[in-house]
Amino acid sequence: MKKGIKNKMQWVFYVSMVAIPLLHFILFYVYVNLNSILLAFKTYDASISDFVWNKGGEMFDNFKTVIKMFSDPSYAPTDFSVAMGNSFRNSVLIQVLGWVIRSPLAWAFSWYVYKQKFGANAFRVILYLPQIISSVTMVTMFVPVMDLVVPNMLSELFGTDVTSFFSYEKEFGTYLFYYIWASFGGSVLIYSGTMSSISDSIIEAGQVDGVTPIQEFLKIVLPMIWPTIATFLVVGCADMFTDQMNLFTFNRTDTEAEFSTVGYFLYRQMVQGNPTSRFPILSAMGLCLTVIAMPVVLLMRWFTSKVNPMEN
Amino acid sequence: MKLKKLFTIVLAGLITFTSLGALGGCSKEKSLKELYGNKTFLQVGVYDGGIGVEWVEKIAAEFEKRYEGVKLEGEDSENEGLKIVVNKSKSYTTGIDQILENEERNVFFCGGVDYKSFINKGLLMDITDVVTGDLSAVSLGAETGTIENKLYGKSNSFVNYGGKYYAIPFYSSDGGITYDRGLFLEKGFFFREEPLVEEVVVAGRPMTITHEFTNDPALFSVGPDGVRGTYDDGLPSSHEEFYKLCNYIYTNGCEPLIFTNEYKFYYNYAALGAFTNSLTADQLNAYYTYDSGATTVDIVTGFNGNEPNVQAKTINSTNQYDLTQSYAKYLAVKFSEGLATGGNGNYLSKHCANRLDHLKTQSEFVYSALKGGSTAPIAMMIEGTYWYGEAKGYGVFKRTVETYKEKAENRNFAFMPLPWKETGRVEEGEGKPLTLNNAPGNYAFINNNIKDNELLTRLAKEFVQFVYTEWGLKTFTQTANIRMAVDYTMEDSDMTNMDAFGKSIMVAAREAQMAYPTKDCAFYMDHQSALGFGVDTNFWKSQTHNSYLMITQFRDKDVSAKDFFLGLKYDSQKWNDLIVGK
Repeated sequence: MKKGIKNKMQWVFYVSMVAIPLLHFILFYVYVNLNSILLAFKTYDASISDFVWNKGGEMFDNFKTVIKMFSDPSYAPTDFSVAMGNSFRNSVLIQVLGWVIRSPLAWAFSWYVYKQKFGANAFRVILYLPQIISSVTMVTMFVPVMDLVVPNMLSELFGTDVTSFFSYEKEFGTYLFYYIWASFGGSVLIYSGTMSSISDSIIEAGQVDGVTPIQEFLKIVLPMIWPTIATFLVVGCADMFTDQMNLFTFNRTDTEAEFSTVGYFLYRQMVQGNPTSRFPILSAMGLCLTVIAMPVVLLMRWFTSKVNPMEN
Repeated sequence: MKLKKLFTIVLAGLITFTSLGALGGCSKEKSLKELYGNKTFLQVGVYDGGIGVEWVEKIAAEFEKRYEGVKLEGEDSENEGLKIVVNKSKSYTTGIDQILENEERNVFFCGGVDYKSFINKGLLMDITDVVTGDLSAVSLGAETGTIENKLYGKSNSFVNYGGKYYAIPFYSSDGGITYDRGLFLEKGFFFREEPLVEEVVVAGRPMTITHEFTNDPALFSVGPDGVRGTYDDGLPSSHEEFYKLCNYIYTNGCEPLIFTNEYKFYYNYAALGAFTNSLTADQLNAYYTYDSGATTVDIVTGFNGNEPNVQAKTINSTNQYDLTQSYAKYLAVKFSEGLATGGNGNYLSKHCANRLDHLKTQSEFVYSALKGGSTAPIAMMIEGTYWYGEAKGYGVFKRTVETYKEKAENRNFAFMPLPWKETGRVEEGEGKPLTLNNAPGNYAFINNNIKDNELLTRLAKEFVQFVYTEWGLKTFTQTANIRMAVDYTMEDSDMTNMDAFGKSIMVAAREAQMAYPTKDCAFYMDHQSALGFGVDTNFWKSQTHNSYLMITQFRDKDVSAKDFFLGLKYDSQKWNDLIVGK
């Protein structure tokens, strides 16, 4: 009996714990996106200016079109003007670059700030400025600097003709640089905040044991902030197909196809021209992307818990 | 420590005030009554950009005079007279259907209208009486006839929807190239009819120099239309001549061409102009009817090496997709390639390597010939013809006059008809009149949300009719320096005080053949987003390269015109899957 009550209490506890995220999911995903999900099974009928259900064998037509678009981009509806293949490649690329460049840099700068080295607070403010100032203002300032000022300075300095950083061959690199630079301050703030919560006694104990600063960083600080790192990695994966890499701010709807990301691709299709007739395919595409992103997110979550240095 | 706190507070305060500053713009606007007094108001919405609003303000001022001292809302009303309030907004374009129902503006002159869909949604007022009504009343007896008679195709116009009219075509932007005619005349960039051959001795060696260019109008070649004494005399009549001109401009210390490298699709205006003028109006109309009747269109059926095999075909429902491979389209693509890569890349201004937006590009073009010093004058600009009104609206010409005084007054810019043949030269009597296109895109219409307001409906209808009187059309053209997409003629006497650029468009239009859709072009109108041939449409999208940005493909990626052109091809299956079936 006692065991039964205990099981019941466990159930209550379990349900109360699961209910909140479930309710959150139902309210803020299913309910909010319901119309968008249903649209994936409809088609826009221009003659009545409304969406009509795809019936019978045509129910999954939008999904078929999306799958066909993946295999042969020329089968994208004629007003879909940005390549899906490039968008996928770039979305994955910025994730990977985020992991291998932005994250280590953010950890290093955060550690610098955490250790209160020379100019740490100034660095914190400077790095966080792009988060405070509106992205449109940042991009408006960044463009002429990289288009004219820096090339002219480099030309003067090296005596050779340095072309704009928005010339075709450098353009994508410039977007990547801006993406990493502009999004880096926020993580520095969070990482350094988390590092500040590490107990001084742990650090002092390490120092008594003779750890070098590098060992302190790699073997004490990073493992201690692992849950934050893991959160960033998992959230980053979930964000993979919505991240626009600031392309809309830079170019509005006129970014070259090969520089696009999936997030930009979707947003562009939503705002360009008369987008209403595209909604059903975009909805179907959104669902397909969820199907792709979900296992990746779960895999990342599993991976980050598996390699948790605090547990190993 | 105190200093640090103080610094933090000041910084936080600054950031807060900066942010709040942005909200300052959201303060409550003054009411129309506060601004204009007790009047009856008719509100007009115009897209903020392109041709500006000066034209509508002029027409509105004239219209308002008719109601001076008139109590339109009845003798008991405190409101006297009419005020037409012009509101310009960037919202009055694509997506306007989302705001129309709750929009305060009553009459619109703008783009972004999906005609059929807007009618079905009930957003446009039925203005059949405006279009078919006699203009004698609104013109105070100055003219008779109807707006319908001024529509291309008359009662067969594409705006005739089921026997009713819901909008009237507004202005038409002609793609192509603008040239600085003043610079051309100063430097002698016009082709001579008879090249001047000169025998000279250089370093002791006899040499023959051929002078192909001149600035003497009496010696000009006949131009693309093959007629002497017309507006295009001395201008390049073939692509080959155009490249020769670019080389000559470059070797004379000028930069041949500029376009906005930020909005790369603007570069396609050159292709659009070349394409349009490579066809006759009847042939171009096949791109609206998709049934050319007895008219044949040259179609590229394949390539022998790099040479296209061309076959004249009639177009009907069984081979509509052949139009994606017309020879005119091939010539346009090849011309674009030539401009991007010819002369070792020197045909394009050095500014085209930077991210200049369209406004800065216009500014560079206008200023370049005035600056002097190390600034090379720029001879031509790839743009839509609305650029002039746009630059004027942004004060470019006013600023140049302020800086350069009389040197900058009465600038002589002109519209250049692009060559229709690839090589050689057009001799007298062998030319072809310019073909201009009147694509559906910009409309004048009345917001249907005022249908229950009898007075506003009457005033709105009367105002729209007034805009399309001969006086209204001429005033529009004289002010906006662009043509309305309806059939009217500007005589020389009407253009006496016009800027040179607007005059050049109207003179070209007077002698041009016009292509336009009619109400029988249902296939085109139903698939307008897929079949429209604007500069940023799928019409120019190579499926192989997944891009319509020709400049990137040719200049940056070394794609050949042939490969790009083949990428434009639709076969029967794709045409059915992607166009007909949609």
